[in-house]
Amino acid sequence: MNQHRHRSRAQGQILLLSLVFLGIFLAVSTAFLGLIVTYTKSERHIVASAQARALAEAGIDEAAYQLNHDASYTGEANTELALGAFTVIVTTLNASTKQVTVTGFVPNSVHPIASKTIRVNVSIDASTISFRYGVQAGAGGFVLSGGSRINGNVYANGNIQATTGVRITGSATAANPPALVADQVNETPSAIPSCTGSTCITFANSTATQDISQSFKITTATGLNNIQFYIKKVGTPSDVIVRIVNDTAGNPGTDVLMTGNLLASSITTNFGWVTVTLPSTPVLDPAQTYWVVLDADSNSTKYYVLGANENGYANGTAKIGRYGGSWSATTPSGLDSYFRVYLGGGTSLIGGNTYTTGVYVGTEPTDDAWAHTIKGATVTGTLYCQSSSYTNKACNTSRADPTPQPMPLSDGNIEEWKNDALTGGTITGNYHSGWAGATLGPKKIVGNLLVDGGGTLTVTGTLWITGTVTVTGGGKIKLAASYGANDGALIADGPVIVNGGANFSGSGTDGSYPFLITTSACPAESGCNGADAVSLSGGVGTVAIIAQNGNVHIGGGSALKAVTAKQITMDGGAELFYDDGLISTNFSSGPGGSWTFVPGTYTIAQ
Amino acid sequence: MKGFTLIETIIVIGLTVFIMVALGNFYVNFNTVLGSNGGRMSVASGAGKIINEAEAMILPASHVLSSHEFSGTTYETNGNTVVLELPSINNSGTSIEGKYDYAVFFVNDTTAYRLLQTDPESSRISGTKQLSTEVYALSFSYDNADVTQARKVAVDVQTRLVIKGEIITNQLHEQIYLRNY
Repeated sequence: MNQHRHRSRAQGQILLLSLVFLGIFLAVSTAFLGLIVTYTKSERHIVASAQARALAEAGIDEAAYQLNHDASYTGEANTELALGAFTVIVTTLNASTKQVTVTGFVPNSVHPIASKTIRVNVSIDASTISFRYGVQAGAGGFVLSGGSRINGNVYANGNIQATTGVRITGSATAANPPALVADQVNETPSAIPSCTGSTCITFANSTATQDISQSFKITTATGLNNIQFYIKKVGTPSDVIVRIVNDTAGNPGTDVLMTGNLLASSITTNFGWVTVTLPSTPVLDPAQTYWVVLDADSNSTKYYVLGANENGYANGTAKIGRYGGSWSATTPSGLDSYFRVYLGGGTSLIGGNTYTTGVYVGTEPTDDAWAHTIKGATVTGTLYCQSSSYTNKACNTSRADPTPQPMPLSDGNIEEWKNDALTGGTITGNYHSGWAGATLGPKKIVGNLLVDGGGTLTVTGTLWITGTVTVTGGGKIKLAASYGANDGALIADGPVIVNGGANFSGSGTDGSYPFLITTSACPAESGCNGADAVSLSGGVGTVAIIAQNGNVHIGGGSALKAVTAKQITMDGGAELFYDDGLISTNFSSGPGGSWTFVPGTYTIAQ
Repeated sequence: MKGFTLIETIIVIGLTVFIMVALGNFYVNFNTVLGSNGGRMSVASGAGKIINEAEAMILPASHVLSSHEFSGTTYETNGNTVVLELPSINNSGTSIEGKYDYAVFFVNDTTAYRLLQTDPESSRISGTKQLSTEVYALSFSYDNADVTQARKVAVDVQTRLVIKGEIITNQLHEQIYLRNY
């Protein structure tokens, strides 16, 4: 019995031992599995977070795309993409800026493993086109008669001829017109289809090539009037400071004779001639060599390209470097940039009659008349001039003659609008919008556009008409509501005729106006048969008229928002109202018209 | 009374030793695998943490700076250190115009750090963050020789641990664009 009792006590030792080891085994296994689970979860979360961020950034792109098609886009929810989804919320901060908040979810917004929220601001390109003057004429100046009236300020790069009781309620400024032919020019060949090492000079893209300079000599001791460059931009560089400096041992010196600006908004991504804004018109010495320096910021993705040729300009050369630093020869050496230098072609005039009642300028003491010569005028403010006759006051000679101002649109700006219109396709043949009206745009019309019969043409995108535009018989052109507070453009290559109670209007939102632009040079070019580039009679509503190559004739009591032309003729009691809202204007498409990300506003919110 | 025979005793001792050796060996191997995998997780986690933090700072950065002073010490951007300027953000996550925070990533011996110096109006919190203690190599490269003009920073991190003679490494590489450049 005792033997059996001992045996039964000894039994189970192995089981006990096994249990101990099993416990150890299970403990270690549990720890091991726990570690693996934790690691797996952590890795899944890291990958999911990266995916959620990529989805949120995709949402930013989607928002910019949608805004560029419909400015009233406010966002979208749970849009599925790849392994997750994103939600976009667009908040309007002001007319030209919106905040886009996008949250990316993986795998979905209901049970997300990870989510990321990114917030950015998008805006219409900050380099919006500036219309500093409600009424601005180019070298042709103004020809005002028949008791016509302009409510606001006027600016002309030429004479303001006003002889028969004309009234200008603001200030009137007439800059000396430029000579018709450039004094110095380098522009051969006239077009650069694509850049090569010897046809383009890139600058503002690195510290070594930050600035470009070109030496030149003029032929006569006449004041500078106008400098132009054949230039394009890459990305969205800032404005360029333009300096005229002396020559020091074959390089730009430090004596600055003039400092002006080349506005980035006037330069597009395609080559075009762009005019420098000159604050003064220094008289240069024909015996001396001078340098025009384009001083820019340096950025590898936001820079400029100048058209150039090899030894095309005999009186100077181009150098690359940094203003205030060192200069080097171009690569290849001997390149000359494309540029034109215009000298003053004469002195400017306001008025022209032998009675003081020829033109009335101003209604407030600050409304001045400013030109080289003022004749036959009654001015409320000061007469800034060098000579006067038949005026109510004597000349105040403290100011030099005013300097010419560049026109608001460059050729490149107009080209971008045309490209924008092309995105909507082409209509071949004349287009008629009659009593039933129509909705159109963006579109290129190879032919003429006629709007009449009291119908309304609703513009939903930029229109480019290769022929004439006629709005008559109570025809109306209005911008679609989707334009919001933005402006829209109609570009014509031929003359524009607006009469017979025609009317233009914006989208219905304050600050939105249609811009009617023609590239026509009528009546100066052949084939015009005496027609003007733009002929207006009768009330035409809230529209801005642009004809930088031709004459705009305003008659019959027309009322406009703004007009810019090479020459402006007003008669028959025409009246023009200035709108301050056009000083800096945003377009929903074309130059300065796309919604783009604003650097400096990207934040990862969570 | 009948005791155990010598044979029985030897067999029992033999079996016990065999079981002990087998289980002991199993435990040791298990422990080695556990340690090795723990090390792998640790180096992977360290490398991931550095990349994640680099993303969080480089993406919203506006510029790479050539140098910046943090609490009396000046850090210079080079192949192993990157100094960043970031627009400050408010409590709602919106950038504050004209205000900037500054961050630097660097490695000291085998430890990677991120220092952050914030504007008083920023919702980011200043301080030092230890990212990993197992860094074998941390390098930064830029898309422009002039680092202040760089728009893209490539980050390459290699973490390493030696566990019982076994070398465990993890390497991550990412190119990150400065979204606010």
